[in-house]
Amino acid sequence: MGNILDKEPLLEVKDFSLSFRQYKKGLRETKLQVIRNLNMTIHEGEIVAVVGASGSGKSLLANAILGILPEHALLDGTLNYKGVMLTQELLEQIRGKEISLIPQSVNALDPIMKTGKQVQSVIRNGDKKEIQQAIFSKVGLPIHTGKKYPFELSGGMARRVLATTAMISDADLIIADEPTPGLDPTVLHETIGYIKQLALDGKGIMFITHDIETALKIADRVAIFNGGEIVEIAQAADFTGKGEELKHPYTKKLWEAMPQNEFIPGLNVNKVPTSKASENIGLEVEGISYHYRGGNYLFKDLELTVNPGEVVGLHGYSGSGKSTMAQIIAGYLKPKKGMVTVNGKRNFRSMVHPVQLVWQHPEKTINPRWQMEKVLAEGGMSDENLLMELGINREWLTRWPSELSGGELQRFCIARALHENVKYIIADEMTTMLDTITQANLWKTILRLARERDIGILAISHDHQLLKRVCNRIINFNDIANV
Amino acid sequence: MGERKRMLNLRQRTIAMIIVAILFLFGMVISGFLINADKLTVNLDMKNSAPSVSHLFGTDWLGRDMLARTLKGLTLSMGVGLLAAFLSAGIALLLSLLASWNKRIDSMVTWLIDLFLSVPHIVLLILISFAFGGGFKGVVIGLAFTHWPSLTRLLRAEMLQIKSAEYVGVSHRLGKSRRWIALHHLLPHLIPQLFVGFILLFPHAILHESAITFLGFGLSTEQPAIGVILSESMRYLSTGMWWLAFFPGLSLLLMVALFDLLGRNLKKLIDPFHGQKA
Amino acid sequence: MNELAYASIEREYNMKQREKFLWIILGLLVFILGACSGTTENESDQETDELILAIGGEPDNGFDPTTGWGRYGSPLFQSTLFTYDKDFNIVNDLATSYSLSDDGLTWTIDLRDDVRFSDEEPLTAEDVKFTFETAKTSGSIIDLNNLEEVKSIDNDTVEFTLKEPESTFIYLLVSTGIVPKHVYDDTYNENPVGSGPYQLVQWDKGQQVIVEENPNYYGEKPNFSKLTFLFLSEDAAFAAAKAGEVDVASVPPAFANEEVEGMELIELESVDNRGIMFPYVAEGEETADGAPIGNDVTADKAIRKAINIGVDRQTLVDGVLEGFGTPAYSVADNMPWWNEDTVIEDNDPEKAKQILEESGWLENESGVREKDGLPAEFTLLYPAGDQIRQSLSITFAELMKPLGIQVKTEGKSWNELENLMYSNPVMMGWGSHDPLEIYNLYSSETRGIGYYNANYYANPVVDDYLKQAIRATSEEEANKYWKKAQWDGETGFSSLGDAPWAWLVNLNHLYFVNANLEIGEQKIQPHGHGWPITDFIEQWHWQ
Repeated sequence: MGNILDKEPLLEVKDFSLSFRQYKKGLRETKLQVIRNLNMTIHEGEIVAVVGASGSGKSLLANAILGILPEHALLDGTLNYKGVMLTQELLEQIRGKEISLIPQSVNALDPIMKTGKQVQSVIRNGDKKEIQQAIFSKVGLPIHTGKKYPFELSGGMARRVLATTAMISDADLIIADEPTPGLDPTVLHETIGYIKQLALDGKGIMFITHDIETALKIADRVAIFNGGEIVEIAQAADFTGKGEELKHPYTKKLWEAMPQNEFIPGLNVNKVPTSKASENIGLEVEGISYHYRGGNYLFKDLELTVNPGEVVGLHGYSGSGKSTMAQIIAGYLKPKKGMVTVNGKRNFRSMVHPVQLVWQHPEKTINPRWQMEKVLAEGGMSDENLLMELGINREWLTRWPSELSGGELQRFCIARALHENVKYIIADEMTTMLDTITQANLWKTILRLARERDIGILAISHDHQLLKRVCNRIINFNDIANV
Repeated sequence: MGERKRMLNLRQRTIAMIIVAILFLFGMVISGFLINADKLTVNLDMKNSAPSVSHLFGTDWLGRDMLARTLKGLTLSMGVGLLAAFLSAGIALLLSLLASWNKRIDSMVTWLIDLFLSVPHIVLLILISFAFGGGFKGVVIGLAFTHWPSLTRLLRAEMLQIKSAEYVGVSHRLGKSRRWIALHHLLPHLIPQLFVGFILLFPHAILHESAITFLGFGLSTEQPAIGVILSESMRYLSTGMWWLAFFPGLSLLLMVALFDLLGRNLKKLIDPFHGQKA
Repeated sequence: MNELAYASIEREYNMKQREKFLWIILGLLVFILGACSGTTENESDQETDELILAIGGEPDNGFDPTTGWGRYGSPLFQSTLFTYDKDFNIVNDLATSYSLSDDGLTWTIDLRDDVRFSDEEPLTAEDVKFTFETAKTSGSIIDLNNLEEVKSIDNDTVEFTLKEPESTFIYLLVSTGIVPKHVYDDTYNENPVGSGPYQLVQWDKGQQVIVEENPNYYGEKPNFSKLTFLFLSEDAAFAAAKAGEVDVASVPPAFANEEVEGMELIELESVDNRGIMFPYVAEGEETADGAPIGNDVTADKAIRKAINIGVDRQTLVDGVLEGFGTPAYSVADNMPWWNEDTVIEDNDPEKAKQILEESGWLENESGVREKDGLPAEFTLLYPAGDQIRQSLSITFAELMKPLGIQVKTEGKSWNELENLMYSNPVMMGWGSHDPLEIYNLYSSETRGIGYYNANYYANPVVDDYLKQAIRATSEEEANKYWKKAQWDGETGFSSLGDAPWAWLVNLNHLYFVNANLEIGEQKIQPHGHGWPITDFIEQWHWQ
């Protein structure tokens, strides 16, 4: 590997900083720095993972390299591509040709164009159709896939189509922005396979993710991104054992806080003491079914019980319908069939619902125009001790949501969900977008609080390791979905 | 890319623009109110005089000072615009909040928007204005009833977006009533949009008022409206009295452009995305 | 924020408002400047036997004399029993002679026997009978209530029997064109057939009327075989005149000072007057339709007289009419039935103030007079869109200020005026070749009937004179009483007497006429509807 690093890098980022022009109060123009003095290189045939929690600014780095930043962004430092400094004009010339993007969402496909056509449009020379069909068969897409529209494809197939666009383009540098969120192991494995194949073809790849685990599976080197800086760029092989090879203490902690490692020191779920309150009987999901209009059943006659004080893990992969189920249990959606009873009751109109859902993306569940105090007030939360326990700083109460990180916001969401009348909490990928340290801390707190108040928790995640750590029992979603 | 040195930062320039626009518009209104009654009186010795130092905009066929008449006209136009834009914005807000209630009302509101947008503005305006007996009342009602759809569409879209936002769902689950949510989540989000929309309705309303007045369906010829001045002056064009139409028309243009400027800059200030752009 | 929605509304504002409207206005302004500086070439037209006239006057109800066509001037397509000469002497046209019975009730008229309609059919007493019977029942402005019956004695003699003597009856015979019984139907107003000098060829409503010489016309043949009447707006008519596209164009005073190459300005005096009708009675009553009647300020004779004396009519003529007019002192200046003694010395503010003070109208600190707490102020209404009446009103209001009378002016539609005219002064216009108009305006019988006596004027002495004038059996006798009704030395409806009106100006009718075209002398023109300028069309000729 050492010999790759000696060659001239494909991409070189030098002292790169990025800030946004901002007006907070009155007329003073301030700058919000989101990336500070960043240095990194990507060589041909190399995969470099950039790992950071959501909102850490890692996607902005990708956007800067592609030259698609919003107008009020201010850049500093240099980006060199094949030894030439990237200017905006140059970027516009080579974007899509020499530098290509595998986007985060499958929505990037044109919904009204057949997928084959879309892929062909990237091909510059040769028999377009032939090349497209060859690449489709290479990634295991059936021949007729090219004649289908994106909506006719499953999520995994659409993702593969997206990957092929990057594969057949002549791009030497590929930026993959979070291409594998919550995928089931088979699909994840496939996708990783294609990306590795791209690297073998000599392309340089920047793999952006929040998930160290995936990063380690795919990357040669891993750049740990935190607070706008790259803390450390380590060889993937260094993440081993108790992290002795890792240089930076933050990286070390990150590694240690992974569920498959130490996670929360001294935690044993089954040993957390419980106190039995008599009126809390249990959360019963009785034979619910759901399908979207004109669609297939996501699940049928689904049965599920969560007992007071119990942490039940529900394991499943993206797109399987578990989030829909969570929304039905928490009263956001009505099931087509069946019902949900909480402690024997079913109707919770115009009162605080006894089942509260904590969503994956905290920034979406908080009104961006409200200060945090008001967010808490809306949920009737004024328990100072609870806030302290959740690690909510008093000073945060007067801040705006945009001024807090995802982990900080998620604390507020949890606090809001812990209303005194709440008996159950559904944590739907609650910590997926957060870094492992924050993840461990949040779970530590929520588990203790739940036990104290005899609250039952339904933890939904694709991360089996995490569930194993925090749950009393784990259910596989596919086993109860009946489809 | 990179930072350029400037005298003022973006927001300061935006605010400066807003202040300039407001000052100008205020100047027009204040001078319209303060205009000396003597200036408007008939002075047959001075009739039909071309622009000069004592009469910057010239005088009309009765020797009335055209500058004074123009300022009076602009004040009136502004009044009509204010009232009409206010009513229009009110209708837009009401309808967009109604649309949030349920699907049926929403599709009714959408249908109404489509209906009103499918008829040419000016035709509808003339019809409504005529039906309400013309004059000040007719014009204001006509303008109010024709200028709401585009703003309503914007507000409704915003509103639907917020309504489906996760934090609104959370609010429901926290036992908040629909009214509470409308008041605390939807309304604060719509207000800035509404305000900018309101300001941007102004130039529209003013131009349309002048247009239908010019065509003779609007304000009565007695009112010192710009539209009236323009249509009167058309009769004198063939005698070479260009200043009768030129200056009032130009002033109207200026006022409309100022309102437009004001609205755009306010939007920059309020809208976080556009706000940072150069 | 919803980018898409923002983008769409922005696009809308951008496109619709910024781009389109601003450019249109800008374009308009540039056009205006261009239009003003542009010069037009004047083609010298060859002398043909065709004329193009832009003199307005398109009748709303078509060319049917039984519903009013031709009342204000030559019916052109039809001919009348009698006609005026230039000095308002009544002369024979279709009639060869007439006699009036001693009781003034029976009019016997002999007709020419050589008259044929343009469709070759002869004109007989039956047609005359038919015309007047139709007119009587048409419910139009022609008032034939007094007509008992019409009989055709023989082919060329017709006899009218009246219920009461009416000296003005003959003016109906002057103004009513005879229609042919054999073709008259519901569409006659659009397809007139008559015995006048011309016949209709084509009428494009709102645009033009084309007429051709009637080969069967019994009178003096006109020199032009074809006339085209264009219905253009005032400025379009002027523009057409400038461009040399028309031979005759009527223009408002504002254009009359312009030089037009190849055209001469012809100024015709008229009784087309403008004056203010003052509500004559105090407030309180209502009409049957619920419109309020009366005005406390103008019900005071001192106010009306002071206005009549204080107003400067010559200023109005010079200022508003650009000098193309004359001061008006009555509804019928210079007509045979006009009392010349009623011309007063106006523009005498001192005398006006004296009148006001003597009757208790005293000036308060703001310069407005008051009497018993009632301020001397009223709203003068005028038909919106009539620029001369608007200008007259505004200027009049200005002239009243020094007298301490506060006048507000407001333009209203005719519909609105019909409701407001009983209780507000209105800038009206009259002027007819028929003295019956005097009766209609000033008789107590016509109070509240249409526009006539909308100010509810009533004076028993005047009523008496008016009745006598109507019942007179000769023109001289009638005119004597008409004059007495205006001023008999003690009372009358003129400004010497009760002054229910303030007549202000007579408009001169202004025409740009092809410099080579001679239209001869014209009589005093009536209130402007129809085509009175064509009254003596047979005299028109190229120089």
